[in-house]
Amino acid sequence: MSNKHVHAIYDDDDKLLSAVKHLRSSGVSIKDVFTPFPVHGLDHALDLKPTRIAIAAFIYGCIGLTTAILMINYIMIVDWPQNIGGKPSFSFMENLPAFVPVIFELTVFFAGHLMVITFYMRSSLWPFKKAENPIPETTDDKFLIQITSFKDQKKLMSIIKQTDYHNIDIIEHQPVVAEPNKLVNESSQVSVGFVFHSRKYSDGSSNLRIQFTKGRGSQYAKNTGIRIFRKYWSSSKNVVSTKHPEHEKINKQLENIKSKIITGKEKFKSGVISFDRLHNYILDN
Amino acid sequence: MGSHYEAPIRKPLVTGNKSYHQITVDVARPIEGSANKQWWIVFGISLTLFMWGIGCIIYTVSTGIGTWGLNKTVGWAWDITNFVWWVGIGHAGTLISAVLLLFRQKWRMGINRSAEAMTIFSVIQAGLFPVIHMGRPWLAYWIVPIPNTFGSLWVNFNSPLLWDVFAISTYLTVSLVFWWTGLLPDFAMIRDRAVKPFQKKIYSLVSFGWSGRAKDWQRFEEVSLVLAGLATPLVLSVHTIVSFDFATSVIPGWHTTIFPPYFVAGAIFSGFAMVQTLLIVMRKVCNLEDYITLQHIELMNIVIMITGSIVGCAYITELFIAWYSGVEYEQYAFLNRATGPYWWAYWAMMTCNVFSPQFMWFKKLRTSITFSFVISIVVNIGMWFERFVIIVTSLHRDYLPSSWTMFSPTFVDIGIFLGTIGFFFVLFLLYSRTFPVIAQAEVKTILKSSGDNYKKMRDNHVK
Repeated sequence: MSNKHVHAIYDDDDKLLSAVKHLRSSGVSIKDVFTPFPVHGLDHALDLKPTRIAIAAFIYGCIGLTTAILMINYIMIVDWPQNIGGKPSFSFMENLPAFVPVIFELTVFFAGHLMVITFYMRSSLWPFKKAENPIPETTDDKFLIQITSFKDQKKLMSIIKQTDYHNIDIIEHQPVVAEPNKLVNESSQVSVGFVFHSRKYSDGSSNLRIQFTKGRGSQYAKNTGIRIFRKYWSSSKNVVSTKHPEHEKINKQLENIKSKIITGKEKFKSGVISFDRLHNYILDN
Repeated sequence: MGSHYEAPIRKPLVTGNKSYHQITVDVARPIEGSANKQWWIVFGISLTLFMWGIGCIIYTVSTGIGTWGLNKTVGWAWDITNFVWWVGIGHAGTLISAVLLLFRQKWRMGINRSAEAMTIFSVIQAGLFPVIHMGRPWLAYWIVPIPNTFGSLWVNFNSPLLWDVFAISTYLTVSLVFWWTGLLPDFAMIRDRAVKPFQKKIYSLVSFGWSGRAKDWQRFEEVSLVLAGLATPLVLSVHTIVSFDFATSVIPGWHTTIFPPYFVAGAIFSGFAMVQTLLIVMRKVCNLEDYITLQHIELMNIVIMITGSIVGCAYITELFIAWYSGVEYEQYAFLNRATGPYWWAYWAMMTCNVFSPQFMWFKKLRTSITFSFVISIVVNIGMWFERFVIIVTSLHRDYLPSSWTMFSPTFVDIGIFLGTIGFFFVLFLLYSRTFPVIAQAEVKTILKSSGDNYKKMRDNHVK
């Protein structure tokens, strides 16, 4: 059972918080929690240790302060004292007021930058780093509790089901990042989704298209023949909102296309139709 | 619901019955959609101005500073005026995100992202002017402390111009990392929604692999708080140091101890005015009226009114102290400002900066979007004149009457200034199409306390 992960997904921060408390009091060990925004009180609920990054920032500031003092003392007093407007050029302390601005700026510079670098390193954030949130919706409106070590799956399920959950995913091995806005997330290489044509008609509407993607490389899009205003489109459900005067008719059309997409993908999988011909099957009536 | 309580007297900061998902959709819409005609028109104009500015810069550098209208009496004019003007505008962003964070002002969340963007873009414009004025910009690296084997002495740490180098570069880079750190969760949101492979790749790159773990958020909040604590004295120090460029000199009209607080207030004043100008347009174009509400505009107007009044106080104090000091030169400098050949610039400054913000005492006017927009432009014109008045009127009457001159800008002076305006808008327009312009992760944290639907729900519950 150890290679199984359980993802308890919530659609509200308050539900998540009470679920975390419930799970922890029931003895479930939580690996991680992914949220779209900082949830107030979550670190206490998870018993996270307070971060020491502010202490680090203080130390970096002290380093900056020292560096600035040493540098200015060397440059202005030791290496090449100059007579500037008769100011006391042979004594650091007497010249200090004029050095305060730069000393202050360097203190802030060191504290700010080194702290941010520390944060990026500790939280492993850098360009080309791959994101690790198990489902993409956790940056939108879903909250996910990741549980990786448990003995009795049934018992765990019953505990999670006592909370106000939205969904439970059980994942074998490492979680795979799923693509959003795609109708089907199965292991088949082809994905099909709805997009809008980038050009708008003069009245502001645009053509709804179907985009076919194979693997990473090949992609094309075909018009569905449906032309609507973007504001009526719900990209999460792939339907037209009820505000559209003809929403029933269009949604029926879409229903037909969606079912054809599913069967079309099956046919592609079994090799009946090729990727380039997929649109003929889906869009020809 | 108890933990999300907010006093009913506070107006909602997010309107339109938003859910968390709706916020995501609204913030991602300008990025995922395509640009309209107006965007391309404004972008085209800005790009043209920018190109014209580059032409003028090339002309200046290849021919020399003599192409400007400077003369031996007025050795500083539009270049430093524009520099101080742009730096001043760059003060609102970090003030909004840092000072208002320390004061726990929730209304900053709708506007901080764009204000910070504006800060960074305008500090870039500001930095151009000293570099061009060097005449040999390829030697600009001489302003950093490097040993004298390069053929020159060490830089002079007694000089306010060197303090400026440290202040501006610290301000620019710290603001940049502050901005970018706040952007990571929002870039991650765009990344996780992206359907086009190229878009996904780009937003993966810029979001630094942000995943939103509980521990990451804990650090994120701490870093934001400490950066705000560092940036608050920083933002005050920057314009203080800019004012030292003048205040530490012995020119009558510049040699005043009131300059640091007066410049900082002026910077906040002009910065907020620019934020107002940009956001009034942006909320309309990007359909963000639910996040940048009338309440936000009203609060910004109040800041403009207060800082404008502080600036007005400083103007009057300057006049009083000039008279009270008994120093003839000081008295003449201020008399000459108000009644000399540059009287029109002085009174333009007075009208725009002191009188016009006083209209904001009236609720009807400060809640009018058109009026706010007009005043915000007027304030920015006034703040440009303030710098021009301080710099040129103090210089043009030298101690020797034989050196008395006037300053008139050449087409190159004007061209470079317009070029920086173009460059600024090019950057801002590109930003508004590719960046999440609202700090959506932060707005989501206040939705339950300050969203109109949640506030209404609580009110009904209480009754």
